[in-house]
Amino acid sequence: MGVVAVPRPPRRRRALPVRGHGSRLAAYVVVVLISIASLFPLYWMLENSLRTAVDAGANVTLLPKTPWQWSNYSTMWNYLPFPMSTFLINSFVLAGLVTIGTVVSSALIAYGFARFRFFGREVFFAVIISTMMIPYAVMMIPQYALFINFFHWGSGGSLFGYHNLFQFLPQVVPAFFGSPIFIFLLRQFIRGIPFTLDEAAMVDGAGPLRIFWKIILPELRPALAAVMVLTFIGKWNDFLGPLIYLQDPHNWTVELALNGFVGRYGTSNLNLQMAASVIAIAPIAILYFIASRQIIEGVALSGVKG
Amino acid sequence: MKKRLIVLLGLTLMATCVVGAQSVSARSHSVRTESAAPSIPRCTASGNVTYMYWGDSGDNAAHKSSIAVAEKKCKGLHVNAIWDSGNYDTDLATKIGSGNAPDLFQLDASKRIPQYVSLGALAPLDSFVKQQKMDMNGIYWPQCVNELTYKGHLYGLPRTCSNQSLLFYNKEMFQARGVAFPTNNWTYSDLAAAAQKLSGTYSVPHDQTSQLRFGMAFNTDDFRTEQFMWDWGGDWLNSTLNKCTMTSPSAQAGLQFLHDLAYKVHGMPTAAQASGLPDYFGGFQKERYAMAFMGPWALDYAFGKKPGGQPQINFQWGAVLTPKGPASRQAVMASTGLVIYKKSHHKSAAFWLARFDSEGIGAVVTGAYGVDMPGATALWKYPSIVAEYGKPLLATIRQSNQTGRYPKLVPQYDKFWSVISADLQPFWQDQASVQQVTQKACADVTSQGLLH
Amino acid sequence: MSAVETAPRRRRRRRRWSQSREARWGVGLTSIWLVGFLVFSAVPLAMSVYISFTSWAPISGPFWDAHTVGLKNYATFLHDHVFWHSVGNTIYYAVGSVGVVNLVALPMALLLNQKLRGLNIFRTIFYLPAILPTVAIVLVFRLILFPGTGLVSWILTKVGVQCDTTQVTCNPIDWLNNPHLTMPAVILVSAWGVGQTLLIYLAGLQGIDRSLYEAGAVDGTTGWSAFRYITLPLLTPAIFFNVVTGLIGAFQEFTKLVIFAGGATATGGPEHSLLTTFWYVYIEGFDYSHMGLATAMAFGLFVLILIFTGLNFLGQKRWVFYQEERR
Repeated sequence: MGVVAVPRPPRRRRALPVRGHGSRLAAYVVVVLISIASLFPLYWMLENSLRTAVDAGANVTLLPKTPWQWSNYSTMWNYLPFPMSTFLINSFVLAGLVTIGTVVSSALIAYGFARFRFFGREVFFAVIISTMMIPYAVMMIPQYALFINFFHWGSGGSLFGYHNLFQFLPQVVPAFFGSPIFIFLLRQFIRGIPFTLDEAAMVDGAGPLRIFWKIILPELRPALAAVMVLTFIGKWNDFLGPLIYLQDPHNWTVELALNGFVGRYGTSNLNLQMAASVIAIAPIAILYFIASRQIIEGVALSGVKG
Repeated sequence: MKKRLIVLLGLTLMATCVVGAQSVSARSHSVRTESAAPSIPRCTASGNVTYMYWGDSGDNAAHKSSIAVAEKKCKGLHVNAIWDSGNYDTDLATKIGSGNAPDLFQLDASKRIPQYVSLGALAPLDSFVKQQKMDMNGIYWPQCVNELTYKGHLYGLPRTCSNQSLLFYNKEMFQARGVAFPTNNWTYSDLAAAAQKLSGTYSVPHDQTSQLRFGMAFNTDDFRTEQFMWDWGGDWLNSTLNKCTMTSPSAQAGLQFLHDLAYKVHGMPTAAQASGLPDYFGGFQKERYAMAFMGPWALDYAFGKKPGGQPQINFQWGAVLTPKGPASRQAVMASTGLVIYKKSHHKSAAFWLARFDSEGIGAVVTGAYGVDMPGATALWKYPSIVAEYGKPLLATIRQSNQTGRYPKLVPQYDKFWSVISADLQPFWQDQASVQQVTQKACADVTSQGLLH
Repeated sequence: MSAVETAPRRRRRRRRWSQSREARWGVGLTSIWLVGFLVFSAVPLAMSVYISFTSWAPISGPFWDAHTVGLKNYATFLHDHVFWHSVGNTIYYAVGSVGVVNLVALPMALLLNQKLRGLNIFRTIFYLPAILPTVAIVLVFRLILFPGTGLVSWILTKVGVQCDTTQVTCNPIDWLNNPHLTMPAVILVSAWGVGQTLLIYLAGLQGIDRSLYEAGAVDGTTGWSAFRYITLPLLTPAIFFNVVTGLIGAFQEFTKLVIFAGGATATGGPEHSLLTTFWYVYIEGFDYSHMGLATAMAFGLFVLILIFTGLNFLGQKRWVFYQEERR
């Protein structure tokens, strides 16, 4: 598995010149403390999810009173209009579709910018980057108007046997037209791929799409992995988009379902709230620990160079 | 990398499905239905009716079983039920806006009817009532019919009609402090005296830890604000809804009394104390408050009587009428209306279902879940309802409905209440006088165009 | 604003495709974005100008049927003291959270930028909070901050800062309901998700050429002065980036505030203390069905963001130092 190729002259990292053992030790202490602070809320979530309704959030003990209430999980699973599995599947479908759309379109657009010269290319690219500055606040309502008044994507109809999949469209379709930040990231990566590879393929008579498929994509895999994982996590964690567009409970994502534990009908069920939170976090946490390297390097790159 | 991801996604999906299947099979509390349903006209309508409602899983089970009976009785009717336990009002607005409005849906009567009517979303039901010769005030509680009537037209059938001002009390706590139980003849002064005696740090038989307990639960929501103003002779608006009257001495006196329960009588937590305590029904449940004003829904939410309901209480409780105020004894009624979308193509089928669900078996099932009282008076004699509430409580609720009154139909209720509650907040925290906050509230609702 | 030049660009291309073919492909591929932008951004933007002059409510029909009310919506929100209160909250949250996050992230990055065993594991742990679902995280922080019975209250009681909650006289410190404490609490929650900012600082630090320190050491520039005269100036592009993107994001924070206040039906938190302009736009539009007013307010927020971003870009000349000439 290749590391994300950072196209810059190799430079070995070295420790700062003057550092004693004392500072190293202090650093370890601080680092461990921060790690505990980072992980503790997750532990607390898990711990409270195993308490009784009366006990949750009430008494401070490091471990929940026995017997641990594993039944909270099954109660929570069926607490809302549909079982939690429905919401998990919805989150997978929605985040999955958005990921596919973003990755495919961003890669193609980035390829266009990196490998083809045309009049006004640099200006066009600058325009794309500058659109990142348009706040979502001004787009939220007119986009909603566009989707529900023009396209009638509020709900209704079924697609591929998936009832009311139309409600997903307002969030999925725009993803198929590229995301500026990832266009930027991928363009940088494609520029780092030696052009001689393209030339060799051209000699063999390959067209642009074939070069993209045979040469660019394989080289781009680490970067694509980063984009995929970041997009997936981003959409999974999204709350506002689903809140606006998903009206039917059978379309809710996990995040919306969590809101269902907070509102009108869930005030006194902190243990169920925590159990549901654990379920919402688990897939992301697992994904993160598998792909943390790609994620971290992707963020560092797209961030610093954005 | 890619392979691992795919395997992971697959595994997670599989796991979800397995767990889901298990828990679905574990969950099968059956719904009792009565054999004989009250008589409503034979169904002649047909069509696909989309029916949207809110609630928790108990409400949903009630709706589902009622719909099943409705579809059996009415062969041409097919009901597409949408249960939304989330952001109901916003979701509903979007569905209507995107051309996917449900034909029949629930609305919080006094809070929503004016807004939805002014936006042209509701069909008036007068012609159906006339055609089917319905005696509205005979079939339903008149207070709740009033609540669904706006500018001379009827817009909904009251599926539920509940008194929100019953005084529930914890017998165990009264006994622990040697205080006589509340009666139907109580005044608010009796309430204040008892609340004072019931506050302090003590233990009760079912909760041996010595902890801080109060006579009254802290609650300053819209129903309570109205109740205290009404019983002192005030209200937040005049009868034509074009003038804010919270600055009147009577309205201010009512609010002042509620405030003093906390800050003078010390029979109720202060705002700061309350924030460290459970909310009013959670605290009643956990024996932190000896008394609380609640509706019959308390049976579900505070006492956990609903099937599958989590916490059960283990102390004896009772309920009496709203105490008598200096001006009158008035209880806040709140109704859930079944309303029909103006552009629905299945209005008559929807109306039949609305009648079935409000007069018929549907409301019985809901009532028997202890969620809300049926809007139709006849249903209150139903065996399962009587069994659910018990004869004494049912008699109290019935009696208190005589004193019931529906809230003012304010246009844009949400914003109206949001402005008022924010303005009153400093008063509940004892940081401003009632004159200051009511003047501010009246100035704000007037300047923001929230009156007629 | 690339600080580091990327791959050496190939100046001399052996062209196999004709110039026009290359341009066709380039324009064709990149216009995927253009189509999306026109349909999903440009058209809505134009629509939103129109909507802001109407009294559109989604319940009553499509927006083109709504009554036009002229500049009334703009006048309404400009005279609404809740709007200005929300602007204050927005700036409070944005400046507070960006400030706290950067003040936490920078020392952490310096600490991590040395040879520590297991650095990768620590880096993974530190970044974890940044990618977890906000709703779940805020829910658990609500539990931790729960007044009277939560973990923080418990610790405060043990330390003696807070009164014993079993006493009648005790008024617990209330992070969830006291309007003066809710916003600081949310800012602290956002400081927990410091990972993103941290990573960018780390990348910035690792991009600093070590030879600079070695040269500095010869002149006796070590420790604090090395940080002050070498690290900090070279890190200014990263600081600038973090502040600008952080502010734009913070101006539009929604989820943290909404969930902390107790869900989407809690309009603004206690005494509107968590009501930011973005949330107010949502409430007016989606809860109260005043889409025209909400759109007008969104433009107000846009102006606010423009002002802050503009100030940042104007100010950067004074303090942001670029290692190489900007392209």
